[in-house]
Formats: sequence, structure tokens, C-alpha cells
Amino acid sequence: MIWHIFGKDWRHLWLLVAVVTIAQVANAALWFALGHFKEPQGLVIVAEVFSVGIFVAIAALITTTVQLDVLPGVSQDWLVRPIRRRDLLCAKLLFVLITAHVPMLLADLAHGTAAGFPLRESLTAALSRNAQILLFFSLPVLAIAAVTRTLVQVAAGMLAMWLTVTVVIIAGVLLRGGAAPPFAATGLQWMTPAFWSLLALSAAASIIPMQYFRRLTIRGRCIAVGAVVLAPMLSFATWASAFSVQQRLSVDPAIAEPITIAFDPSLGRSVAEPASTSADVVLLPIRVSALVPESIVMNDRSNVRLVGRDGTTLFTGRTTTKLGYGDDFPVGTTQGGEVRTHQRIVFPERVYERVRNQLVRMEIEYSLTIFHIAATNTISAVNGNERFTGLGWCKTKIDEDGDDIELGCIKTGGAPMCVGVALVNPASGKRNPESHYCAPDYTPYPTHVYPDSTSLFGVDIEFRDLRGLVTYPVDGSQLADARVILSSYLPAAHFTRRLVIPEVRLGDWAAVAAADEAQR
Amino acid sequence: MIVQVDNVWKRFGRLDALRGLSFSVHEGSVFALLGANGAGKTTTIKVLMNIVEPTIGDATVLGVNTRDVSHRELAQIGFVSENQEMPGRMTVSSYIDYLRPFYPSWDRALEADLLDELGLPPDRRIKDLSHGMRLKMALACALPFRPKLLVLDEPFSGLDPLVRDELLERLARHAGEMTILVSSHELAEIEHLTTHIAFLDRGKVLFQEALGDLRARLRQVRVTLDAEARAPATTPKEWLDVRAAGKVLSFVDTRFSERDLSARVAAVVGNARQIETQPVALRAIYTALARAVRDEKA
Repeated sequence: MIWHIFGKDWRHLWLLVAVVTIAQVANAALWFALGHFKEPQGLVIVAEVFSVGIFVAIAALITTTVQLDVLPGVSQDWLVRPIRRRDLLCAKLLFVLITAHVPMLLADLAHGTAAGFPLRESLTAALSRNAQILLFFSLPVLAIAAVTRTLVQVAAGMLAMWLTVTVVIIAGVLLRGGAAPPFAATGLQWMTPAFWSLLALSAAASIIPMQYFRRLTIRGRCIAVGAVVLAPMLSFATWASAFSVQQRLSVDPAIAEPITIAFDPSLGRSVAEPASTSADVVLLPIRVSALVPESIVMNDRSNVRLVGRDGTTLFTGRTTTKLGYGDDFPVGTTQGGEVRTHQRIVFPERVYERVRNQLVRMEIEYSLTIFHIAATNTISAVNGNERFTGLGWCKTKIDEDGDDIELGCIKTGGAPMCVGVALVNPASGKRNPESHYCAPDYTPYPTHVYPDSTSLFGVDIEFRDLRGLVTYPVDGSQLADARVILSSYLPAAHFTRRLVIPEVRLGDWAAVAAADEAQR
Repeated sequence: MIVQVDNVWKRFGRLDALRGLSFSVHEGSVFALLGANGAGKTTTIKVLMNIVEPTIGDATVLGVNTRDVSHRELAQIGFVSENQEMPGRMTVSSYIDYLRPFYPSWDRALEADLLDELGLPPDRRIKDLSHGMRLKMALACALPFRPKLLVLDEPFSGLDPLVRDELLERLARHAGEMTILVSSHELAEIEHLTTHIAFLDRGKVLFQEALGDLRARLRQVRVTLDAEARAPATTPKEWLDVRAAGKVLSFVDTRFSERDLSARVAAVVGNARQIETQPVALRAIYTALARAVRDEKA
């Protein structure tokens, strides 16, 4: 009777199914049309909103499908009919698969193959996205629909869930004195959606059979509420505990074992800091040793503690006020060995003014990740059009201002989290400094659901400074011969280090002083 | 027994909707569940259909514990309720087409006959049907598979007399083929169908009995006295709904016996000039019992 119930639902919902299917195909077509450089720009916002709208439409389709045979209540006609509960559940699952997920799979597959990716690669990406959406979106939506009676109730329930999670997270921020949740904007951020997904899937796996076979609506709703209340709890976890989990997930922990960090006053003051630097910034000279060649070290988080000579703690806090990754810890090497650099540390102004001329003990606790090169490719700097394993299909062009080369790539699955780009002229042997574009995401499994099974990414490679302050070895006159070296990096190991400087005077390493010196 | 209910309790929060309910329904009978609003009639039916589970106790339908009632039993049970939520967006014919394959014993000729007789418009959406037409629709979906048990929960509520008569006529025609369990306030209408009744009050069965036996032992008694009648301060428990008007005292005698009636009346009110008796209609039985229960509560 599964197909019989399916047929009944189809006769009711074929129009909605058609709309959702057309929307999914249009979504794939839209992103394909945006091409490598997401042009025209005006269409990008439309495409992004449209892609979110697809999820809303799928949720509406799932809800309507389930609620054609409403589960909560005691007056529904189907309850007194000889309909096997198992058949009803199977029919609903089948309907969701066929009407929401098969079109999604086909649209993703069409986009992948239209972009020239092999069928197998496109299919793998499409299946992976489909499975994730099924497990972590469609089934939880189905569970919510199973404990409600109307689409409005589902919408209200989801709004209430969102509000609850938001309020608890905001409460957490307030409890931490305004500090963001520990993993916000770091590579560990995957833990939050992973935890939520796991909760949602577990709740759905409990609610759906319970509701279809025993119709325990109150219990099902309690489980849903419980999952929602638990969801923000991860934001109360400590950074140390989360990072220790991440360390255990390191792909190649041995690569980080020999790495050391030392204070290196012989490096002198930095001269690179711009003159606009505020007075509370310290540029601490450090030496990072025993790096493997072609590696980058990302500072996931570092905490600094200043201790006075009498042993009292003068300050403890993060070394940067920024969320996410900035240029405060520029450590990268092609040759390997050691890197000498300046770590940018920002202190609260009152603290800095109080201790700048004192000798203090400085302790820094680092949580770091070393990225190792995964692949290096080159592409013509102008009008390049190449396909690379791991990076996908890339193109280059000069931007409208005439100061950057735009590199745009289309890839099945998620975008690479860290790429290094450098402009070289093979004829002259000249090479511009490598720039890194990293958005660390240490998810230990492939995840990519938005906007479809392919992703677009791009970087701008500067070859001319319009202000005239910087000159590049490979400038605009050499672009015809120039090539872009494109390196992708993958995280190899997550590790912690502790740097202790027994005596240091912050004022000696003040950024402003360094900038003044540079001007002189 | 088609239905057997043993000491069933059903609690909703702090409310005990059923409190040790027990009764049984014989095969082939037309069993009426009577009781005031809130007595537990609908809850009893929901328990029997396995729509809600009893909190305590067991009930069986077609020999199966109600907690285990599944598609196999439901394929032999017809159900009509005033509150039945049918899929409003489906048309009459598409819904019947949908239901048909679920019932192995579905009789298409009977289906056609019912649709024709009940005057159901096949192409109209169920949500566009009037209340009466929806009940007819429910009946048209409950009879074609020739159920062993037909459960009717207030099937005549809010119906105009014409529709009610049509439904009753239809039911009367099929009454002999199946067991019918009906909860209804329309006592006069179902009286000629009913073979057994159970009277529910606050989740309990006060009594259940074959209607014939009940009629035999219940009589409306009208006693004419020589003087102005006054309701006696104490009356026998078996006298219900005792009323005095002029020289006439009337009551329902629940232990009627032609032989000793005069003596029992004389023992309470003295000599009577005339004693008349007449059989009691189901409605009068219900009213008398309901009043007795109400007075007892008071």
C-alpha cells in the first residue's frame, strides 16, 4: 500500500512538487550562469536568497506531505482505517526522497557535469550533499511536521526554536562579559553545526518512529524541546576542551611535534606596521622553528598573561580583539625550518598604559594549526582557463580597476579552506610575495550543502598599487608572460605551545614606536 | 463477545475520563452507550478503536486487545463519528477510490448502491459537503466492506430530520448483518434498532442490560389518589423520577411486577383509587436514570 498512499499524496501535491523541482533546477542554472567570477554582481544576492528559499520550499513540501495524514489528534479519519503505520511512514519517506531529493540530486548532477566535471565526481558531490540534507534537514523537518498539525505550527515551532537558541547563546555571551562563544569564527566552528546536526538527527530518529507507530505526540514534542535546549550548550564549552578534541582529529600530528616558539629580540622592531596603529598594540618578535617546507601556521587562538614582578597578574586575555583569523601571526614558509616574524598583540588601553614601562613576565598559550601544501598549480595570469585536481575549474582575468588579477574557480564539493597565490614571471624569474587566503574549517568530514553541490571561490592578486606606495617585481607590464602559482593547503596538525618571556617591557615593542622609526 | 471492556481507566492529566469502565457487547447486537455529556462515551469509543490507550485495564475488540488493534481488525470495523476529520481536499469519489484497496472485502456494488441512495455528489470536495452530507459520506465509507462491527459516535448530532431518517433507514437495513455500537442522544430514533444499552456516568457503567429485559422491568406508573398527592418523603430506591401533580403521583418503577405493584404502592402512599402502568420509552428510561443520577450527586 506504500505506492497507493504515495499516489494519493502525489495527486494532492504534484503542483507543489513541480514548483520545488523547477526552483531546484533554476537554482543550479542560476549558479552555473554566474560563472567563475559571480557576474553580474546584482544577481549574486538574488541567487543567494533563492538558494535559501529552496530550503524553505523543501521544508514546506515535507511538512505538507506529512500533514496530509496528520498524526497528532484523535479525530482523523485515517486513524480508523486499516492503514499500516509502517506503510504510511514508508510512503512519506519515499515521497520526500522522490519529490525533494531526486530533483536535488539531478540538478546538482546537471550543474556538475555542465561545468565539465566527470560524472563520477559530480555524482559523488551530489550524493554527499543529498545525504547531508536528508539526514540533517529533511528528517528533522519531517519529525517536526509529525508532531504538529499545520504548516503555521511548523513555522511557529521553528521560529521558537531559533529564538530559544539565539537567546541562550546571547545569555552565554553576556555571562562571558560580552565575549563571543569560544569557537566563533575559528576553524573549530564546525563543532557547533555538527553538534546541532547530531542532535537534530537523534531527535528525528526518536520522534519519527515514536510518532508514526505510537503517536506519542507530547513525548515527541518534549524530545524536540529538549534538543533545542541542548543545542546552545556547546557554546558554553571551554576552548581548551574543544581544541583538545580537535587535536585528536589531527591528520598528521607528528609534523607539529618538533615545532617550537621562542621570543627573538634580535629580530628588532617591526617596520611593517602602518602608522595608523593605535598605541596599545605590541609587535612581539618571535621565532617559530622546525617547520616543514611549504607550510603555514594559523593561530586559532592565543591567550596572553602579564605577571608583575611581585607575582600579581596584571592582565589575562586573548592576544587579539578580532574574531576570526587576521594577520596577527604571519607564519608561512616555502623552504621549511624557521620563520622569524612579529606577532601582533592588542592590549586594553588602560592595561597597556599602566604596564608599558614596567618589566613584566609574559606568558602566551597558543592553539595553532599547521597547514601543509596539498597541491601546486599554475595558470596564466590573464585569460587563464585551467582545470586542477582539488581546485576545480579556474579562470583568470584583470579586474575593472586594472590593479588586480581576479582568479575564480568552480569546484565540486566545498571550497578549499586555504590557498596561497603568487604572481611569477617565468621568463624573468621574478616573483611577487605569496599571499594566503585562508578560512580555516577543520570539519573532519566533507560538508557542503549551500548553494548546491558545487562551490565558487576566488581571490584577487594585486600587481599594481593604485596609491603608488608599493611596487611589485611582477607588475602590469609583465602580465602577458606572467603566471599565477596557486597552492592549496590542508590542515595537518593541531597543537598547543606555551611561550614564557621572563622579563619584557611592552613599550620596547610598541607598534607606534616601530612605525615612527620606520618613518625616520 | 465482539467487545469486552474490563475495568478500564483513562486519565487525561488530572481528569479521569473513564473510571473502571466495564461492559460487553454480544455479536449481532445493537448496543447503545447512553450517558450525559462528559460521561465518557466518546473516550470509550476512542479506546476501542485504539486511538487512545487505556491508562489501566484492558479492552478487547473482535477478540484483540485494543492496544494491539491494527489494520487487520480495522479492516472489519466501520466507524462513523460526528467529529470525523476526513481529507477535505479530496473529492467524494477520489476518497472512496483511495480507501477501497485497504479493505479486502469491499463490495463495489454496495458502494455504488450507497452512493446512489445517500445522494452523495462524487465530484464534490469533502470540505464543501454540509455536515449532514459528511456524515453520509462517513457512512458510505463505513459500510461497503460489510464490517463485523460498526461503531457510531453521536452519528445523528446536528442532522436535520430528513437526513437523520435516511441514515437510520440505511442502518436499519444493515443492522442484522453486523454488530453495532452506538453512542447517541437521539434515543427515540435508535430505539427500534437497539437491543442492549449501557448507561455511563462519570466514566463508569451504571448498568448494562438487554433492552427487552429493561423494558419488562421498567414501567411508568401513574397512581391516582383520593386526596391531593404529595411526593412521599422517602420513596423506594426502585422508584425513579417521582412526581406529584393534583391527585396523581407518577414514577418509573424499575422493579415492575404486575403481581405486587398494588401492595408496594399501598405501602408507600396508602390506598390508591387507580393504578395505571405503561411501558417506558428509551428516552424516558434515559431521562429517569439521568435525573436519578443527578439527584444522587446533589
